[in-house]
Amino acid sequence: MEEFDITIGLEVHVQLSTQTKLFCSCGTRFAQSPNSQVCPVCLGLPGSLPVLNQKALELGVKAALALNCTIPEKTKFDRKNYFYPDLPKGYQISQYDEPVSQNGFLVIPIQEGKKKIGIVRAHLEEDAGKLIHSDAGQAISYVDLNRAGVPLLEIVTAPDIESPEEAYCYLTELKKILQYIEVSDCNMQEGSLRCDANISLKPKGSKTLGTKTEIKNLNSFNFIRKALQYEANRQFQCLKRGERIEQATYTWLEKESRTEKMRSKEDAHDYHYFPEPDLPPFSLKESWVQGLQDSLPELPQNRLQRMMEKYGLNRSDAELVTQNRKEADYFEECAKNFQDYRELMNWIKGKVYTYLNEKNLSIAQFPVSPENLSELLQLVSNKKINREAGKEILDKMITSGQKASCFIQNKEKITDHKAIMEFCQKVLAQKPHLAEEYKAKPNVLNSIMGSVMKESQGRADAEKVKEILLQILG
Amino acid sequence: MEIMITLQEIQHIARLSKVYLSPEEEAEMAKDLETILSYFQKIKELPTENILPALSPIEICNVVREDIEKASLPLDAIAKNSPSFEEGFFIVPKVLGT
Repeated sequence: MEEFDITIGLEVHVQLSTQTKLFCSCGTRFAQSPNSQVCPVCLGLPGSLPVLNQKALELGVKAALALNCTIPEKTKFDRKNYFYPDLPKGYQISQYDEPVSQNGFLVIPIQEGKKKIGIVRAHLEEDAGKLIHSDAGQAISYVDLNRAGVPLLEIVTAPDIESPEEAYCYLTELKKILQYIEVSDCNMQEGSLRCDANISLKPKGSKTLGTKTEIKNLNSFNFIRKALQYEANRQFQCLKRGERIEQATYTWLEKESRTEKMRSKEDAHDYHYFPEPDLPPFSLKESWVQGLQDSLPELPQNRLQRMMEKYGLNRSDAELVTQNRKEADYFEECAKNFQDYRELMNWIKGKVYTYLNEKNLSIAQFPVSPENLSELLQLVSNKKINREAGKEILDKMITSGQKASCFIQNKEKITDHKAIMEFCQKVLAQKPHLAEEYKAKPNVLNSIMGSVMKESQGRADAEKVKEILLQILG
Repeated sequence: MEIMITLQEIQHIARLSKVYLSPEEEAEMAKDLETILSYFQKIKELPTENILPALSPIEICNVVREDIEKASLPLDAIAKNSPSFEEGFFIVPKVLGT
């Protein structure tokens, strides 16, 4: 494999987060009963006319701006013609030669630092319907057109990606950005993010690209990486045997961990694009584009950098907490009231994430508000309660949604010398053998301490307990 | 009249359109398309060097709508327009692949 360079290009379709379809007012909700969100426009009935959804245009341009694309003064739509039962009009309204954006890039982290992946274009288009093929031996297919007309943004990279790993990295970064700016939920299970990949090999250092193959049906970033690894190796074996690569489209068979040829180039579509006569062109005013640019939130990579500097977080913690915009917001909200950031990070990593992972929830569903969490952490850091009690209280806050102060009664830390002395004496009276054992094995101190803490219901100040025990045991 | 469309092109277009043409129909189709294309041949004679292509005969632009959901069609109205409709689905001959 060393004597070849891999070249990969990715085509990503994301569903834009609109209430309605791209050219009609039907809803876009997922998993509705079949054909319950259709109208004459998305059914392609004669005489119906498309009208562009303003929000979809905005979201598309917003995404393009976040991907450093150039927004032209003018954009238009075109018909892409092909026959298939999931496409009721016999054409898809897409963009051909005047897309809504071009020439952008996205920076991905790689081992040697950072790498710029060029983005050739990002354009708007409508989704097709869904086909379900009868498996009951009948020669029929069922057509559900709820998805037909749903707004998509197709984002096409330059052939800048040089390994399956980089492809994985690009997709992760792209998804993070699109979620941050809230243009798409990028939910792959629901098809809000789909990816096709093409890949070719060329002799090391060669300027001309080799013949590429395309892989479709890639349902997770992991599958994409695996499929690209497989396909790179398949092409390599072909070339090594002196064969030529046939330009073709492959599908990824996850169960068998291999690609399979769907169609060769001879069957390639010939779309006969032409301008969509039912939609007038669109002029994109500079002030409007600037408004969208100004509305963009801080993007994930900038936020990661800033949070590392501002809160002194290490890279892996900062990456974890900026994975998702709402989680980064949560951290920063807490940090307003609680300035021991490392301690805050530990609680979020330990208690908050563990809970969210166990229950498979998002941070937005976490029952404890940032204000309430930081209040609790203050109680711990002011030594009003000890850490163990703090954890217990947090559990109660999670189940009840109430503030820390509701549970603090009978949880305050006991620091009173006399009170702790009583706990210690009681334990030693109950378990006199421990004092004996301690003389031979000083380690036993830990187990005595444990018993004292238990006796105090976790409220005794651990340092004081140790001090007093050492005094007594001499 | 010069030949503007070859038999191969006719067959290619037929395949893209998913229609079957007998050899007689192909010849017939070639003749028809030839007539249509000759109109374009005529139009091509016009001097258009300094004229920008027009996308639309009317000069409007930026026609958009707000992202507000409206009622979709009731199922029975959809079913009425379909030759075969079952349990909310349109039924078509089985299609797989291209």
